[in-house]
Amino acid sequence: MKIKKGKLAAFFGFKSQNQEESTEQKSLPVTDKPIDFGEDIHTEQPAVIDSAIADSKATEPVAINSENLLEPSTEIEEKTVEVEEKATVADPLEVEATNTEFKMATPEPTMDYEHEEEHLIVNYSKEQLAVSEEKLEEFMRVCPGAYGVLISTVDGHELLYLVKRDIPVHKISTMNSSLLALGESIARESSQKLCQFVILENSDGRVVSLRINDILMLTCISSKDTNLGMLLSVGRNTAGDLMKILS
Amino acid sequence: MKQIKFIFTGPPGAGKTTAIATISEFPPVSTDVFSTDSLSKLKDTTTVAMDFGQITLENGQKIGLYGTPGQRRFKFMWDILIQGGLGLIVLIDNRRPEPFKDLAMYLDNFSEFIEKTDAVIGITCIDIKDTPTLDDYQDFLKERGQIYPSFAIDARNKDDVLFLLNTLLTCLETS
Ligand SMILES: Nc1nc2c(ncn2[C@@H]2O[C@H](COP(=O)(O)OP(=O)(O)O)[C@@H](O)[C@H]2O)c(=O)[nH]1
Ligand SMILES: [Mg+2]
Repeated sequence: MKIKKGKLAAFFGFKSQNQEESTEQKSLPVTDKPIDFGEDIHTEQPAVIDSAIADSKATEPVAINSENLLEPSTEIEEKTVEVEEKATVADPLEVEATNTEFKMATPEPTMDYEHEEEHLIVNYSKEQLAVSEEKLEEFMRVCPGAYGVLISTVDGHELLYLVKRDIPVHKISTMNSSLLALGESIARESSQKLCQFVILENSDGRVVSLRINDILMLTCISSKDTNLGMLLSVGRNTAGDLMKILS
Repeated sequence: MKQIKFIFTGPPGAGKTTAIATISEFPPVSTDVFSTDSLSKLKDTTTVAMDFGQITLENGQKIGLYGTPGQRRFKFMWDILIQGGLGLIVLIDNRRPEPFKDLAMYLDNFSEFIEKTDAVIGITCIDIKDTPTLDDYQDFLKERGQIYPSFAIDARNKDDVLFLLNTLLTCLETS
């Protein structure tokens, strides 16, 4: 059994670092074409996510196969984990200028309607993100069935994540922010106190969301190779650790 | 009597959550969380799933009031929330840099829904910024070939919000 690290993408709030581009974004032309949610996901994901996923899709199975074939007994070769600043990769203008393939997948400029709202005010140091990243790796190690773990803001922006499958990180972050808020709201309406987890039990896996602190949440996505008790306790501990790191 | 469902939409900060809280007969269900992007310059919290309130008219008719998140990234919630809806209330914040673009964006994205049902438009915060004027909005709508009742309202004012609601009801009755 071989465990491979998925690539890791992290971003910082890029308000301060990228002021010029952000003013430019605001003035992008807006068409009045309706927004297609399917496309939406592609644009809003920082480019690094796409490439990270594409990369892991393209190389991982091959790497596993060849290693298995050629050196069946060698130790696990871990991919270097890349921490990227969103500021350097997520700017759509920059992406358009340098990456034609991405540009083609880029939907209408309507998408930029919202960019003025998109500059995260949460700002963490490289050190904080690096330590958080280790916690996410640890989570994946301890829960063999897990194939995604995401730190995102409670209003639906992904901050740091580790995925082993091609899952739409931005969509998952946003939808789980809604779900957690609904869960907390249902708990309140049912006169129950603290909502600790929102658990989605599916036929072949689970999605567990929980709060890290006032502004951050953790989403854990796992197959049934890890049992629920394990997923909840490791999730809880990871969120607790992250709370200390990202305070 | 079957409950009617109305949906409030519009950009973040336009007053959807406020409008529902203003007229709801019970404390509305709210899913506001801290905002962590540049919206936080304008307000501390944002709706990430929905607002839900209710009002009972004099004739006993109950109206469910559902507010959407404003941001486009929550479009999946828009699609969920319109299900079974009978009308749309679009609130537009006059302070925003390009309120017409905002209006066009919501009218476009809810176009299928409002073709089947109906819509009214409430312009908020005209007390803070008085341009564009209501006439400008009406011209803009006319150019788009979309005639919907539009009013300047304050989402904190009960009569204003009730007026929007009543207009929407009248539109539905007469159509
Ligand atoms: N000055 C002014 N403030 C308003 C008016 N309408 C709403 N507000 C305020 O604008 C804010 C709207 O926030 P909220 O209801 O959360 O907006 P939402 O994002 O659309 O749900 C609240 O602080 C309201 O009190 C208005 O017509 N004039
Ligand atoms: Mg709201």
